[in-house]
Amino acid sequence: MKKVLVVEDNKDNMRLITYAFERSGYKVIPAETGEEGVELAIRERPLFIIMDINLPDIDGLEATRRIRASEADDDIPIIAITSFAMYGDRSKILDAGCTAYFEKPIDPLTIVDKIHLLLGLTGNNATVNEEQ
Amino acid sequence: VRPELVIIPKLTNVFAVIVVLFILLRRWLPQEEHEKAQLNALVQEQISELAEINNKLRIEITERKRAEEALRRLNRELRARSNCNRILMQAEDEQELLNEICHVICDEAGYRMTWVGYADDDDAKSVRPVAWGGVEEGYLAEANITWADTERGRGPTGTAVRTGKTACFQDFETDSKAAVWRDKALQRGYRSSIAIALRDESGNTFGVLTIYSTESNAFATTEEIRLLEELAGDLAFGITALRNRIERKRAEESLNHLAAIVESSDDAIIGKSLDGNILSWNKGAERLYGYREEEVKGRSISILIPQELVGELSNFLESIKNGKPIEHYETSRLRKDGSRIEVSVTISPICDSCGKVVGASTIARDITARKQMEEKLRLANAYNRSLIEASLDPLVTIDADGRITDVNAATESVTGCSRSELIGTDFSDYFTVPGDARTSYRQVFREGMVKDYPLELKHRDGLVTPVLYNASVYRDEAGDVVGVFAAARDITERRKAELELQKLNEELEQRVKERTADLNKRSAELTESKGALMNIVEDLNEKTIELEQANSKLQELDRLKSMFIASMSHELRTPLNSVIGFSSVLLNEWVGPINAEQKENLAIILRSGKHLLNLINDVIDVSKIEAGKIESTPEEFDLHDLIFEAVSLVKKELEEKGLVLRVAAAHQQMRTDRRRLLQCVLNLLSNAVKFTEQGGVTVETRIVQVSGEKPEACVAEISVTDTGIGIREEEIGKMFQPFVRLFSPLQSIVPGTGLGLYLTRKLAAEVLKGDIMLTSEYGKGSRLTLRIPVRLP
Repeated sequence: MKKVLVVEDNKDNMRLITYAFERSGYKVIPAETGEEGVELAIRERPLFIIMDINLPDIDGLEATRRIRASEADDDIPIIAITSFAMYGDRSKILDAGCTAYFEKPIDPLTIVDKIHLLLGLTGNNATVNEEQ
Repeated sequence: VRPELVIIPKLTNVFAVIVVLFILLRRWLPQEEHEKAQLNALVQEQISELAEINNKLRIEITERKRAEEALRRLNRELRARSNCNRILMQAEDEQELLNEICHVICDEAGYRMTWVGYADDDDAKSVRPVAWGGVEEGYLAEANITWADTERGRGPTGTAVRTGKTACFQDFETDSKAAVWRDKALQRGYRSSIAIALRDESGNTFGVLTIYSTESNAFATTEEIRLLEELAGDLAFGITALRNRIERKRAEESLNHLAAIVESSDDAIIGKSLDGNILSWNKGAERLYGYREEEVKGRSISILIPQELVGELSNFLESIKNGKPIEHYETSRLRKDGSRIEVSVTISPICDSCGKVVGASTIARDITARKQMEEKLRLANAYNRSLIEASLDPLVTIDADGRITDVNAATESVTGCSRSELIGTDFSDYFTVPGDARTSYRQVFREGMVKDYPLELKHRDGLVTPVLYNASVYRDEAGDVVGVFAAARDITERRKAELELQKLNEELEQRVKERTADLNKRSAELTESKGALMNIVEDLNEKTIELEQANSKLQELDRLKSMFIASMSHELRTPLNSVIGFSSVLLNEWVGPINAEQKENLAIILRSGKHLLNLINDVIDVSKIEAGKIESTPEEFDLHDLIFEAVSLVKKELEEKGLVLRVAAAHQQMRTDRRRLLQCVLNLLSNAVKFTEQGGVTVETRIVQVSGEKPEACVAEISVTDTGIGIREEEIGKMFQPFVRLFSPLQSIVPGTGLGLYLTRKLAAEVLKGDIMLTSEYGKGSRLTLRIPVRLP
């Protein structure tokens, strides 16, 4: 089963994202803190990672850097979810190693399609074409 | 001494005693009475004879003893004297000498106490003890001996000083003159005393040697007195000789000292005989004249004197012979190398001990440098004087009494009096009003100066010159005011000019007066109007200030409001996202099927949520712009792509309404805030779709080169045209105001925030640095055109 790691501390958002991905046939691995997200990313090797930036312990940028620094990293796509206020910091997000970013709010009806489009994934195809 | 003389009478005496004893023994034997009586008488006779002999012997023995004692004492005194003489020969210090003599006299000659006193010539005529030996025990301090003819002066010491003759107390116990000293003398064991005068070379008594003995009549024999007098004579001689010796030594030292001073003096010091021959020549002279001492000693002083001044020498020598010194005489002298020097010469006579002039000493000081200085000073003074004389202003100096002390040539010509006539006369005499002149220089003395003091100078011929005086005090080196320096400036010409000017002025004044009267009248009228105006201006100013204050307060409030709304709206959005998200999930039956009515209700929740979200987003944007918190973030993109992205977002609505969409977008590389531009274009599209029920929406882009600007300074025009309801011409202006929604049949059904165009125009202007234009025809449709620079800096 395709696995997606969702690092998100807001329970409502987590629930909403989970609805969206499970509906498209993903198994959602939830992580509520940055450190937990790093650990699960290395252990579970998901297809990609949805990474909230504002997290209670280490923020999404730091978590991304740690994942990228780990030996297990094989350029796994990391999609950052930014709050509106973070808009000006997108260069920071990309510098930290994120593949792409979405702004909140998340529309559960379109989020999965958008990510598939972005990552070049179609249907149940699990290969990843990276955007250069 | 003949000891047998003593022994023989003693034997006689023993013999007589034996006879007496024999006779007495016989008395006890049985004898006749007569015989007894005869024998008795005989014995009696013998006894008295023996007693007489005995007596004579006793006296003889006493006298011999005394003679012996006297002899012994004389011996001791002789020894003392010889010791004293030894001390006198060796003495170097007077006090030591006196101390030793006193000790020797007591120790060697066996006297109780000896002291030396000097006769002071003070009022009390005191005899001042200077040295003593033996048992003194404070006696001298209490004795208060004087050489005056008083009670305390009539003892041996006082008498000896006063008369120069030796005097004695043979016995302090009995001598009536000793009464004042008796107790104290006896306490210390003094029975008799002798005082011998000490005389100097001329025979004058300067002191006294007084000796005390424990025995009465110790100083009775002439032999002894003579010895002591000789001792005193030796002592006096010793003291005088010592004093002379010391005096000589001191004189020698002082002579050496003087010689050293002379030798080290910077001045030339020359000794010469009365005929002008050089006798001595110090180092200063060597330096000054260039001759060494051995070169000039014995030669005439005239070698130093220039040819034309040779006469000076005989004059000097003549004066010196008469005992008159020559002091600080300034003249010229020749050095060995022939150069001339200026010297100041002081010549003093040298006298022998009898006061006869035997030579002369010359002290010469080099004053060449000083002379040169004086010459320079003289030249400087002459120069200064010439400046003063050259002045055309009359210059005068005045002393404290107002007398003229100096004048320049200009003063002479203005008064007609010569310099010599002027000096010493009263300054104020040369003015038409002397009282004023006096007042002026008194003011100078009082205040230090006067400026432009007007006076009138009087020529002796009667001509009057009006002047302005400038004067100030001048001071000597110590800073004390010496007098007044006054300079007068002739103002005759100036006064003439002033008079002419005055006349002109008067004429002018008259004309001015006439004009002024005229003007005053008009001015009064104007003043009135001006006053009224001023009041209005003042009111306005006040109002302006009030308004400005109110305005800045309002601006601050407005900014606070915008910030509050921005942050609050942001907080509202998070729960709203959940409302929208979960409504979508439910509506799409992700978690189970719902019936039609439930679906309809959920659609209302979703639509309301989205509307609220739009509203909040717009409010945040507007607030940010108004609070000045929004910044443009330029990035590179293709305008064509952006247009198609915007279109794709409204495509669904267009299709639902059955409207036709036409897009004519050029590929144009842009550098501007993509996100905000997208927002603007989307707003325009949404608006067009909202207010159009049939027909279609057209999107066109055009790149316009701005005339006169650089080629890259292009403007992109993006226009969105609809075939909707249109806007009445008079309402076009209201379109860009916030929360304005025009009355229209669609109003109640078309969702809108009322902020769309307002925000779009704000973004276009503030972020994209462009503007937006609206053209519309009521009932036919509208066109909104966005004009923005292709590249932001």
